[in-house]
Amino acid sequence: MPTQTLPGRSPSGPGRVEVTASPLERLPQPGREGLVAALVALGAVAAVGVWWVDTPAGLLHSAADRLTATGRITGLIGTYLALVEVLLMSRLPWLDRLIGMDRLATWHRRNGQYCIWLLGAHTLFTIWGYAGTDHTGLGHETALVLALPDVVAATVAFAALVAVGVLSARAVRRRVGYQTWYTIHLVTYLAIAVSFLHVLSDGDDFVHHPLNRALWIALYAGVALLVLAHRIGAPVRAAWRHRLVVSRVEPEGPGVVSIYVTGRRLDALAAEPGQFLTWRFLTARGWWQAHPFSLSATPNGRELRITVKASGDHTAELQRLTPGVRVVAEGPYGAFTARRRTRRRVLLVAGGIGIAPLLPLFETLPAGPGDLTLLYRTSRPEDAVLRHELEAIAERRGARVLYRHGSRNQPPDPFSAESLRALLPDLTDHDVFLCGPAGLVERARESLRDAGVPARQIHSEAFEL
Amino acid sequence: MTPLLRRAAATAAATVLGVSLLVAAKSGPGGRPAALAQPGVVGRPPVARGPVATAPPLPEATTSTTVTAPAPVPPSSTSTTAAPPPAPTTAPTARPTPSSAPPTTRPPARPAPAATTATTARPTTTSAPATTATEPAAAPPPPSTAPGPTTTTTAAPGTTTVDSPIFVAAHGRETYGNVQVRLTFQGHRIVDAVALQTPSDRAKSRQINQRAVPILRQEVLDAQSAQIDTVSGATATSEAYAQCVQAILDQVWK
Repeated sequence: MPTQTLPGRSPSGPGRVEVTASPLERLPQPGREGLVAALVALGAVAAVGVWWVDTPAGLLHSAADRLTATGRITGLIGTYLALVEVLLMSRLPWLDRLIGMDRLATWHRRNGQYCIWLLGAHTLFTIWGYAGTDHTGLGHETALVLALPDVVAATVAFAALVAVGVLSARAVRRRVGYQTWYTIHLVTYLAIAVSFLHVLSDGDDFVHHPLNRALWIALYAGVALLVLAHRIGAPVRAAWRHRLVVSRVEPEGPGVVSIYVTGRRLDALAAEPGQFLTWRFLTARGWWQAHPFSLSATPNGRELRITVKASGDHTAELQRLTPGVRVVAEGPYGAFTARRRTRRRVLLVAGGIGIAPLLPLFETLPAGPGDLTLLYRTSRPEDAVLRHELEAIAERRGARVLYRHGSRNQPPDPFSAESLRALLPDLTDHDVFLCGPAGLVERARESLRDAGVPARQIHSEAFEL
Repeated sequence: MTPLLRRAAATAAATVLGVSLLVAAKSGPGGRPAALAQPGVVGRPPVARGPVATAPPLPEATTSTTVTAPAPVPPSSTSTTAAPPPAPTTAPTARPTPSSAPPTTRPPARPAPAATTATTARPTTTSAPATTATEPAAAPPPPSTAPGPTTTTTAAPGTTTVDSPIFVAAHGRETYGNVQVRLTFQGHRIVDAVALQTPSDRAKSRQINQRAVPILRQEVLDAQSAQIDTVSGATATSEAYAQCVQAILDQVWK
């Protein structure tokens, strides 16, 4: 139901943050990701460089030598990527602004899988190579290798990494509880610390080379400091500073509530529309887990709001949250903000509860009458929560809200290239902000590309981390 | 699913290619030399098994006729029982230039690339072979008064022990540690070889040498010379070990 009446009013209010994107942030998403990927690759080259410099040309004579060298190279890259793995999730603000936490999570998943394969190859090739050198079988050599210092510990650590990898695979992840997954994930920090010792005590490139040792130690110390500062220091400071507490919980629709949180100096949070925080509600049962939820209302400096749909144990429990519960929040995070804007006209596409970060964007993205369109897709009409607010904003700003209902595979597909072009003839001249379930976002992205919208104008936030 | 598989395959292919290229870039000629002691490699004609006719017998050789090989002595206890402490420990540490290093007839230990062979084994002290080489060959020097770092002493009745200079076990630019060997002679027969030092900084080196040292010892006892096979997987130690033995033989049979 298009609403196109009143001229748009300037959407300013307390808590609104004026943002200026840095030149790097203005690069299209592939460019920004390429830049960070290049930095990561540079580090990998440096890690292999350690081996390259220490290995004179022509040194590897036998097959065993080559196998051992393969083991060393894969070990160096694997341990380096394990460190990158931690860094990707360290909540570095510039990394978040450049890539976005949801993409970082995707990288984290892929890099983690690659890392485990590399470390597996390291184990296999090292034993194989040593077995060739020692003229013994793989079984006996495995026993010999386990006798080396820190190798048993490193083996246990590797097993822990494999366990995390298996538990994080999508198919398994759905079956195990968040608690299991989370606890084992914490063990990986220990595993990485152990691998650090293993490298220093057994790594041929480190035992005899003070410079390499120093660099390796500095690298780990640096990452450890960053993780401590951003994953522990910052949240603790924020908790102390803001003293967040649940002020009210209001039902929005079937299985959906809005949770309002108040605290001190909320304006200092400097949250931008479209961003999210990770929330830890200090209830007896839920205190240990933190989940990301987008702010579903424009930050106003007095109150924060998230809108949560019951889709799992934790989100179901949040429906029964009572006022007065203390809250610790980390953030704000996310690159799904006005900083991404490149065109005058904007299309917002929401799938289900993915409306949450889009509502504040719909309210605040600078736009004239007719420049702003919101396409809101839900399974059933009653699932379209926050409807009244959206319509009020649309009326105030001269923007359009369009609702689409129906199951995913039921024609007509509102996200086909034809439907989208029919909706907005000048679609290619729009920025598009997408938020919803991963499948919907991907399908919409493909259709938009088919319809001729450049990749740099398509911005998305994955529904779940 | 397909793009996922495609990405996985591309990553795996890139990794295999990258690592293969790296390894290939550092690879040398296919096989290792089977033995160290090719003709001329250790600088002397091979010492025949059993007594060497041309060599003057050691003084002690006449006092003992029964060959009773002493049990291998651990390096630590050996050094405490040896009358003068092994000289190499107090020997000058400065490395001579390769050209002035061991006896002039010592060619590269391996016919492989020059960069590798030039540094295959460096004696940390070479004054002994260098100076003793100029002494009259006819005068059999009493082992106990042998100049230089090679110390000869009587450890048990009828036997003479000689400590070699220290050689560095190295492979290419990679150095693993020092090797020093003590030979025990009964007459001119080598009846025992003890490794006083072997590379031990790295755990894997310790493991390798635990295996290699008994083999090298047996090889020396069998060959009665420095012409011993390389223990595969312990090339650097083997080469340095052979050089230690050769240095002692150079001294003793001079």
